[in-house]
Amino acid sequence: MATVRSAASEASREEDMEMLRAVNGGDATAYRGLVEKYQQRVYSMAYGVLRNREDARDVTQDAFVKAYKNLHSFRLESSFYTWLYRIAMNLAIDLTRKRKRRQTSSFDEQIATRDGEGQIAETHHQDSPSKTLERKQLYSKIMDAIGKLPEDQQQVILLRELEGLSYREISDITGIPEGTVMSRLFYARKKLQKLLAAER
Amino acid sequence: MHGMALEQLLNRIRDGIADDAELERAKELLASDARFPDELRDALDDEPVLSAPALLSCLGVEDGFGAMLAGAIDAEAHVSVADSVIDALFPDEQQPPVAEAVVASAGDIEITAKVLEDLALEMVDVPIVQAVEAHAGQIEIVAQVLAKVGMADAGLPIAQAVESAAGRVDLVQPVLTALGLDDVLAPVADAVRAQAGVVDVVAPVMAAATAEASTAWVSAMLDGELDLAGRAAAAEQMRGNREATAMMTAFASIGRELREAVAEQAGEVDSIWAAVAPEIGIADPEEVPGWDGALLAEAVRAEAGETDVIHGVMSRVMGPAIVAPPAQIPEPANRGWQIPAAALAAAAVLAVLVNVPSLQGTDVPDNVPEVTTFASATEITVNELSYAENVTVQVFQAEGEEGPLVIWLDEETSL
Repeated sequence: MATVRSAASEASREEDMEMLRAVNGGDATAYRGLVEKYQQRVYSMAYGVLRNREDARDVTQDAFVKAYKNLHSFRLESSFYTWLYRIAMNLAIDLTRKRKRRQTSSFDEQIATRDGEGQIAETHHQDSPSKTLERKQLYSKIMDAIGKLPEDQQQVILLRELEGLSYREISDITGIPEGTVMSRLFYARKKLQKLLAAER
Repeated sequence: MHGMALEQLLNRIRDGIADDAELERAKELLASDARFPDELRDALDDEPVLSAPALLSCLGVEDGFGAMLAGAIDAEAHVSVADSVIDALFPDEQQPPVAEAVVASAGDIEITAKVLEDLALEMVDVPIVQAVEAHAGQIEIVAQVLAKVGMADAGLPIAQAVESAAGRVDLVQPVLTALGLDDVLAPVADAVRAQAGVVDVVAPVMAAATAEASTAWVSAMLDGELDLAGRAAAAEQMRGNREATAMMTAFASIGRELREAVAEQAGEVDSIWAAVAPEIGIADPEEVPGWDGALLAEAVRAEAGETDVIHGVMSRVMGPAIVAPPAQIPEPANRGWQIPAAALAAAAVLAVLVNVPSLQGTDVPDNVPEVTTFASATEITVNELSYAENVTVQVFQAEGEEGPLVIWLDEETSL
């Protein structure tokens, strides 16, 4: 199983390298392959941090643009996606901090603003079956709980649970030792457990 | 009343049950009480109900200012020493679980604007300072941390490092600065700072370090990140350990629910490329480099030149006969067989092949033999087959390459 996974991972990495070589060779459109390959994953990660679709989308776009413009500093022997995630995560955290500084509106008010997109209206649809509603409520609580974690804990748990990254990969992205990844992840889970227990 | 101590009077004033005489007596005592700095002598002149708890705090009465302030401090005024302590204690990250425990329990500590909101800014300045001091004060972390980790008397380099890195954290000054009162009230701040209290954030830190960190392996085991020895040890600890089992189950559920929650709430994203492309200098996101229909056609023509494809096509249509014509073309068995008569012949053959009963007994031209013998596919050669645009040509061959070949021309069908 591990062998299969690592072989797949190696193939994926080689595919990335091919596209990057093409981009570096002057074919900017080859970058499209990388965008389409990673857009959903980067977006989900950004959403986990920001809990706002529009912001997550903006961060995803910005991350790809920033990565492209800094490709000269990327070492081909490294992993493109860990590099990309680091950029995306930093952008998402920066945006979160800006939001906190602004403090212009409460989270609920932000949700109400986005209501025009139909997203939240769907969440609060009164006609939904009770189970669906319960599930949606649970999801909202989980996302709220994630928002209450310190940034560094958010980062590791999202990278682990959404992306299934190894401690080594998380360490590469966050720049912290693997041992710290392990303990930070543990405390993040403990805190989430506590927060969700209080909600249930 | 005269027998009442200042503390008692202040308590009554705070609770709103002191009469005027008690208030005046409290002012008299305040004016001469050596425990207060001169700046506080007239603190009861304005808003005595709000000032009394601060004065009580200054006298060391626990929670003199009330639960509201305590809540505000606890909720918003974090103590920003965790990182410094960790850096000092664990410079090489040799004990990350303990370091993380410090972070988890102490968190980021800073005085924020939110504190000031919660402190109710209508209060007079001095009580704010007093109150902050009473509940936060200068935080002496280092000694407590060292004591807890058994290094209280160390005098070791590490202790010096901790002292240097963390030192004492003054929560009073940031509040005063945020209020824009640092110059005005500097003497007051100094006065209260002299009576610094201590906030113990170490106990929960160390509790977390010792108790919680001892189960951190559960998380790593769930993630498959333990090495062989670690897995063996974890399996041993897991055996019969309901708490650890429940914890791992809970962690796994949280992970699954988190993934579901993000997938549900985030939805899918697409068209990122359409937004990214213009930003990296590609005007048309759908552009495919080198793709130009006209240029391509021209290039193909130049490469291909003029080629007779008839043989190739017909070899596919008719099998090997056209590819390798026999040196001597045998005389067809039915010499009268001609292309223009193909339609009739084909109809007849088809009828024979499929044995259509309806054809039996129908009018057949006299010049067509009753028993028709057809050449096999290998016995005939078609050099050229011409037909009109609105004609469909169908080729039948029965059972293998040796079977009869029938060319059916249908003039009624338009292509």
